[in-house]
Amino acid sequence: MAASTSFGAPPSVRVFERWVECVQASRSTERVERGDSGVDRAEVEASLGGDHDAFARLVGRHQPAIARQMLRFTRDRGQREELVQDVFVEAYSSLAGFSGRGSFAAWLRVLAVRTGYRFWRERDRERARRASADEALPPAPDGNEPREAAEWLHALLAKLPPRDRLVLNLLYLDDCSVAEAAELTGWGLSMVKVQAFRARKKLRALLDAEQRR
Amino acid sequence: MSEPRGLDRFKELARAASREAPEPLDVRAAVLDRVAQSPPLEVGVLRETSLVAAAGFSLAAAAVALAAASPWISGIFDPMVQLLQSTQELVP
Repeated sequence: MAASTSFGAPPSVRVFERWVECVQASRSTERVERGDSGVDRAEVEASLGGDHDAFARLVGRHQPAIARQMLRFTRDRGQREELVQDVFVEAYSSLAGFSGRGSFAAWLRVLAVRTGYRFWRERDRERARRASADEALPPAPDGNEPREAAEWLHALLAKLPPRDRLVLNLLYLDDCSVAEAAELTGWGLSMVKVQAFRARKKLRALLDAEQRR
Repeated sequence: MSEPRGLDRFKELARAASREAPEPLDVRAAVLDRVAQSPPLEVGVLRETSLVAAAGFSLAAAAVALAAASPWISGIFDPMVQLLQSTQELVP
Protein backbone atom coordinates (compact mmCIF):
# COMPACT_ATOMS: atom_id res chain seq x y z
CA MET A 1 0.00 0.00 0.00
CA ALA A 2 2.83 2.33 0.91
CA ALA A 3 4.37 1.91 -2.53
CA SER A 4 1.18 2.94 -4.30
CA THR A 5 0.78 6.09 -2.17
CA SER A 6 4.42 7.11 -2.61
CA PHE A 7 5.02 6.23 -6.23
CA GLY A 8 5.95 9.79 -7.11
CA ALA A 9 7.69 10.49 -3.79
CA PRO A 10 11.43 11.16 -3.58
CA PRO A 11 13.66 8.07 -3.13
CA SER A 12 14.45 8.90 0.52
CA VAL A 13 10.75 8.76 1.43
CA ARG A 14 10.37 5.44 -0.37
CA VAL A 15 13.41 4.04 1.45
CA PHE A 16 11.96 5.19 4.78
CA GLU A 17 8.58 3.62 4.01
CA ARG A 18 10.24 0.39 2.96
CA TRP A 19 12.17 0.39 6.24
CA VAL A 20 8.93 0.93 8.24
CA GLU A 21 7.31 -1.96 6.36
CA CYS A 22 10.27 -4.24 7.14
CA VAL A 23 10.23 -3.35 10.85
CA GLN A 24 6.48 -3.92 11.06
CA ALA A 25 6.75 -7.24 9.25
CA SER A 26 9.60 -8.49 11.43
CA ARG A 27 7.75 -7.46 14.61
CA SER A 28 4.62 -9.31 13.61
CA THR A 29 6.67 -12.39 12.67
CA GLU A 30 8.44 -12.28 16.03
CA ARG A 31 5.10 -11.98 17.81
CA VAL A 32 3.67 -14.96 15.97
CA GLU A 33 6.77 -17.08 16.60
CA ARG A 34 7.01 -16.15 20.29
CA GLY A 35 3.30 -16.61 20.95
CA ASP A 36 2.86 -19.86 19.07
CA SER A 37 6.10 -21.68 19.75
CA GLY A 38 4.90 -23.16 23.07
CA VAL A 39 1.61 -24.24 21.53
CA ASP A 40 3.46 -25.64 18.50
CA ARG A 41 5.77 -27.73 20.68
CA ALA A 42 2.89 -29.12 22.70
CA GLU A 43 1.07 -30.04 19.49
CA VAL A 44 4.18 -31.60 17.97
CA GLU A 45 4.50 -33.79 21.08
CA ALA A 46 0.81 -34.69 20.86
CA SER A 47 1.15 -35.50 17.14
CA LEU A 48 4.13 -37.74 17.88
CA GLY A 49 1.88 -39.51 20.36
CA GLY A 50 -0.61 -40.21 17.54
CA ASP A 51 -3.00 -37.28 18.04
CA HIS A 52 -4.06 -36.41 14.49
CA ASP A 53 -6.26 -33.53 15.65
CA ALA A 54 -3.20 -31.83 17.12
CA PHE A 55 -1.43 -32.19 13.76
CA ALA A 56 -4.50 -30.78 11.98
CA ARG A 57 -4.28 -27.71 14.26
CA LEU A 58 -0.60 -27.30 13.36
CA VAL A 59 -1.47 -27.51 9.66
CA GLY A 60 -4.31 -25.00 10.08
CA ARG A 61 -2.07 -22.49 11.81
CA HIS A 62 0.88 -22.71 9.44
CA GLN A 63 -0.75 -23.31 6.05
CA PRO A 64 -1.13 -19.60 5.14
CA ALA A 65 2.64 -19.04 5.53
CA ILE A 66 3.50 -22.18 3.58
CA ALA A 67 1.01 -21.28 0.83
CA ARG A 68 2.69 -17.87 0.57
CA GLN A 69 6.12 -19.52 0.34
CA MET A 70 4.88 -21.86 -2.39
CA LEU A 71 3.75 -18.90 -4.53
CA ARG A 72 7.42 -18.59 -5.46
CA PHE A 73 7.51 -22.09 -6.91
CA THR A 74 4.36 -22.29 -8.99
CA ARG A 75 1.64 -19.94 -10.20
CA ASP A 76 -0.80 -22.81 -10.69
CA ARG A 77 -3.25 -23.05 -7.80
CA GLY A 78 -3.72 -26.83 -8.08
CA GLN A 79 0.01 -27.50 -8.08
CA ARG A 80 0.48 -25.09 -5.20
CA GLU A 81 -2.13 -26.87 -3.13
CA GLU A 82 -0.41 -30.17 -3.85
CA LEU A 83 2.96 -28.73 -2.83
CA VAL A 84 1.56 -27.36 0.43
CA GLN A 85 0.17 -30.83 1.17
CA ASP A 86 3.57 -32.38 0.37
CA VAL A 87 5.27 -30.06 2.85
CA PHE A 88 2.93 -31.06 5.67
CA VAL A 89 3.03 -34.77 4.86
CA GLU A 90 6.83 -34.61 4.89
CA ALA A 91 6.68 -32.62 8.13
CA TYR A 92 4.55 -35.36 9.67
CA SER A 93 6.86 -38.17 8.64
CA SER A 94 9.95 -36.33 9.91
CA LEU A 95 8.33 -34.83 13.01
CA ALA A 96 10.68 -36.81 15.26
CA GLY A 97 13.54 -34.85 13.66
CA PHE A 98 12.16 -31.52 14.89
CA SER A 99 14.56 -30.73 17.71
CA GLY A 100 12.52 -27.87 19.17
CA ARG A 101 15.56 -25.59 19.33
CA GLY A 102 14.24 -23.23 16.63
CA SER A 103 10.62 -22.41 15.92
CA PHE A 104 8.34 -24.90 14.21
CA ALA A 105 7.56 -22.20 11.60
CA ALA A 106 11.24 -21.90 10.65
CA TRP A 107 11.63 -25.69 10.49
CA LEU A 108 8.56 -25.92 8.22
CA ARG A 109 9.92 -23.15 6.00
CA VAL A 110 13.10 -25.14 5.36
CA LEU A 111 10.95 -28.14 4.34
CA ALA A 112 8.86 -25.87 2.10
CA VAL A 113 11.86 -24.38 0.28
CA ARG A 114 13.42 -27.79 -0.28
CA THR A 115 10.10 -29.28 -1.45
CA GLY A 116 9.68 -26.42 -3.92
CA TYR A 117 13.23 -26.76 -5.17
CA ARG A 118 12.75 -30.50 -5.69
CA PHE A 119 9.56 -29.72 -7.63
CA TRP A 120 11.46 -27.34 -9.92
CA ARG A 121 14.22 -29.84 -10.53
CA GLU A 122 11.77 -32.59 -11.42
CA ARG A 123 9.89 -30.25 -13.77
CA ASP A 124 13.13 -29.14 -15.29
CA ARG A 125 14.16 -32.70 -16.07
CA GLU A 126 10.73 -33.40 -17.55
CA ARG A 127 10.95 -30.44 -19.89
CA ALA A 128 14.42 -31.59 -20.96
CA ARG A 129 15.88 -28.14 -20.55
CA ARG A 130 14.82 -25.36 -22.10
CA ALA A 131 12.14 -25.50 -24.68
CA SER A 132 10.82 -22.27 -23.18
CA ALA A 133 14.17 -20.47 -23.11
CA ASP A 134 13.58 -18.84 -26.46
CA GLU A 135 9.96 -17.97 -25.82
CA ALA A 136 9.42 -14.23 -25.63
CA LEU A 137 8.21 -12.84 -22.33
CA PRO A 138 5.24 -10.52 -22.18
CA PRO A 139 6.44 -6.93 -21.65
CA ALA A 140 7.37 -6.06 -18.08
CA PRO A 141 4.50 -4.47 -16.17
CA ASP A 142 4.56 -0.69 -15.95
CA GLY A 143 3.23 -0.42 -12.42
CA ASN A 144 4.02 -2.25 -9.21
CA GLU A 145 0.86 -4.28 -8.77
CA PRO A 146 1.97 -7.33 -6.72
CA ARG A 147 0.20 -10.03 -8.71
CA GLU A 148 1.29 -8.73 -12.10
CA ALA A 149 4.84 -8.29 -10.86
CA ALA A 150 4.90 -11.82 -9.44
CA GLU A 151 3.52 -13.36 -12.66
CA TRP A 152 6.11 -11.59 -14.80
CA LEU A 153 9.03 -12.41 -12.48
CA HIS A 154 7.94 -16.04 -12.37
CA ALA A 155 7.96 -16.22 -16.18
CA LEU A 156 11.32 -14.44 -16.33
CA LEU A 157 13.04 -16.60 -13.71
CA ALA A 158 11.62 -19.79 -15.28
CA LYS A 159 14.22 -19.25 -18.00
CA LEU A 160 17.02 -19.86 -15.48
CA PRO A 161 18.13 -23.18 -13.98
CA PRO A 162 16.55 -24.10 -10.62
CA ARG A 163 19.61 -23.19 -8.50
CA ASP A 164 19.71 -19.66 -9.91
CA ARG A 165 15.96 -19.25 -9.58
CA LEU A 166 16.07 -20.39 -5.98
CA VAL A 167 18.83 -18.06 -4.87
CA LEU A 168 17.30 -15.05 -6.65
CA ASN A 169 13.88 -15.77 -5.20
CA LEU A 170 15.24 -16.06 -1.69
CA LEU A 171 17.42 -12.96 -1.86
CA TYR A 172 15.08 -10.63 -3.75
CA LEU A 173 11.50 -11.83 -3.30
CA ASP A 174 11.75 -13.30 0.19
CA ASP A 175 14.28 -10.65 1.25
CA CYS A 176 16.48 -13.26 2.97
CA SER A 177 20.01 -12.53 4.13
CA VAL A 178 22.80 -14.76 2.83
CA ALA A 179 22.80 -16.60 6.18
CA GLU A 180 19.04 -17.20 6.00
CA ALA A 181 19.32 -18.42 2.42
CA ALA A 182 22.10 -20.79 3.49
CA GLU A 183 19.94 -22.18 6.27
CA LEU A 184 16.91 -22.63 4.03
CA THR A 185 18.79 -24.30 1.19
CA GLY A 186 21.28 -26.30 3.23
CA TRP A 187 24.12 -24.75 1.19
CA GLY A 188 27.16 -23.16 2.85
CA LEU A 189 27.50 -19.37 3.07
CA SER A 190 30.16 -19.20 0.38
CA MET A 191 28.11 -21.48 -1.85
CA VAL A 192 25.15 -19.08 -1.56
CA LYS A 193 27.40 -16.10 -2.38
CA VAL A 194 28.93 -17.82 -5.41
CA GLN A 195 25.52 -19.02 -6.59
CA ALA A 196 24.06 -15.52 -6.16
CA PHE A 197 26.93 -13.98 -8.12
CA ARG A 198 26.45 -16.41 -11.02
CA ALA A 199 22.67 -16.06 -10.94
CA ARG A 200 22.85 -12.25 -11.03
CA LYS A 201 25.18 -12.44 -14.01
CA LYS A 202 22.76 -14.69 -15.88
CA LEU A 203 19.85 -12.51 -14.84
CA ARG A 204 21.55 -9.37 -16.20
CA ALA A 205 22.15 -11.13 -19.52
CA LEU A 206 18.54 -12.27 -19.59
CA LEU A 207 17.22 -8.78 -18.80
CA ASP A 208 19.44 -7.26 -21.49
CA ALA A 209 18.17 -9.80 -24.02
CA GLU A 210 14.58 -9.01 -23.04
CA GLN A 211 15.17 -5.29 -23.45
CA ARG A 212 16.65 -5.80 -26.92
CA ARG A 213 13.59 -7.75 -28.12
CA MET B 1 13.42 10.95 -12.98
CA SER B 2 14.84 8.44 -15.44
CA GLU B 3 13.07 5.12 -15.86
CA PRO B 4 14.88 2.43 -13.82
CA ARG B 5 15.92 -0.45 -16.07
CA GLY B 6 17.43 -3.90 -15.87
CA LEU B 7 18.37 -5.13 -12.45
CA ASP B 8 16.92 -2.05 -10.70
CA ARG B 9 13.54 -2.65 -12.25
CA PHE B 10 13.84 -6.35 -11.36
CA LYS B 11 14.43 -5.44 -7.70
CA GLU B 12 11.50 -3.04 -7.73
CA LEU B 13 9.20 -5.70 -9.16
CA ALA B 14 10.55 -8.26 -6.68
CA ARG B 15 9.60 -5.96 -3.81
CA ALA B 16 6.13 -5.55 -5.30
CA ALA B 17 5.76 -9.30 -5.85
CA SER B 18 6.76 -10.06 -2.26
CA ARG B 19 3.59 -8.26 -1.12
CA GLU B 20 1.33 -10.63 -3.04
CA ALA B 21 -1.10 -12.43 -0.77
CA PRO B 22 -2.02 -16.01 -1.76
CA GLU B 23 -5.65 -17.07 -2.07
CA PRO B 24 -6.76 -18.84 1.11
CA LEU B 25 -6.57 -22.61 0.95
CA ASP B 26 -7.28 -25.40 3.39
CA VAL B 27 -5.30 -28.62 3.05
CA ARG B 28 -6.06 -30.08 6.49
CA ALA B 29 -8.43 -32.82 5.31
CA ALA B 30 -6.19 -33.86 2.40
CA VAL B 31 -3.08 -33.92 4.61
CA LEU B 32 -4.81 -36.00 7.28
CA ASP B 33 -5.99 -38.44 4.60
CA ARG B 34 -2.45 -38.87 3.32
CA VAL B 35 -1.03 -39.09 6.84
CA ALA B 36 -3.58 -41.79 7.73
CA GLN B 37 -2.28 -43.90 4.84
CA SER B 38 1.35 -43.54 5.92
CA PRO B 39 2.95 -45.97 8.42
CA PRO B 40 2.82 -44.89 12.09
CA LEU B 41 5.67 -42.80 13.45
CA GLU B 42 8.34 -44.87 15.20
CA VAL B 43 9.48 -42.25 17.65
CA GLY B 44 10.30 -44.61 20.51
CA VAL B 45 12.58 -46.80 18.42
CA LEU B 46 14.48 -43.79 17.10
CA ARG B 47 15.00 -42.30 20.53
CA GLU B 48 16.09 -45.62 22.10
CA THR B 49 18.57 -46.28 19.31
CA SER B 50 20.21 -42.90 19.66
CA LEU B 51 20.28 -43.25 23.46
CA VAL B 52 21.97 -46.66 23.27
CA ALA B 53 24.50 -45.33 20.75
CA ALA B 54 25.32 -42.35 22.99
CA ALA B 55 25.71 -44.62 26.03
CA GLY B 56 28.00 -46.95 24.04
CA PHE B 57 30.22 -44.07 22.95
CA SER B 58 30.43 -42.75 26.53
CA LEU B 59 31.41 -46.17 27.90
CA ALA B 60 34.08 -46.61 25.23
CA ALA B 61 35.48 -43.14 25.93
CA ALA B 62 35.54 -43.81 29.68
CA ALA B 63 37.37 -47.13 29.14
CA VAL B 64 40.03 -45.44 27.00
CA ALA B 65 40.50 -42.66 29.58
CA LEU B 66 40.82 -45.20 32.43
CA ALA B 67 43.29 -47.34 30.52
CA ALA B 68 45.43 -44.32 29.63
CA ALA B 69 45.44 -43.19 33.25
CA SER B 70 46.50 -46.56 34.74
CA PRO B 71 50.18 -46.54 35.97
CA TRP B 72 51.06 -49.68 34.06
CA ILE B 73 50.05 -48.22 30.66
CA SER B 74 51.36 -44.70 31.31
CA GLY B 75 54.69 -46.25 32.44
CA ILE B 76 55.22 -47.78 29.01
CA PHE B 77 55.45 -44.37 27.40
CA ASP B 78 57.29 -42.59 30.26
CA PRO B 79 61.13 -42.68 29.85
CA MET B 80 61.62 -41.57 33.50
CA VAL B 81 60.03 -44.76 34.79
CA GLN B 82 62.47 -46.87 32.77
CA LEU B 83 65.42 -44.73 33.98
CA LEU B 84 64.41 -45.15 37.64
CA GLN B 85 63.96 -48.88 37.15
CA SER B 86 67.50 -49.23 35.78
CA THR B 87 68.83 -47.14 38.73
CA GLN B 88 67.10 -49.49 41.18
CA GLU B 89 68.78 -52.42 39.49
CA LEU B 90 72.24 -50.80 39.96
CA VAL B 91 71.63 -49.65 43.56
CA PRO B 92 69.80 -52.39 45.41
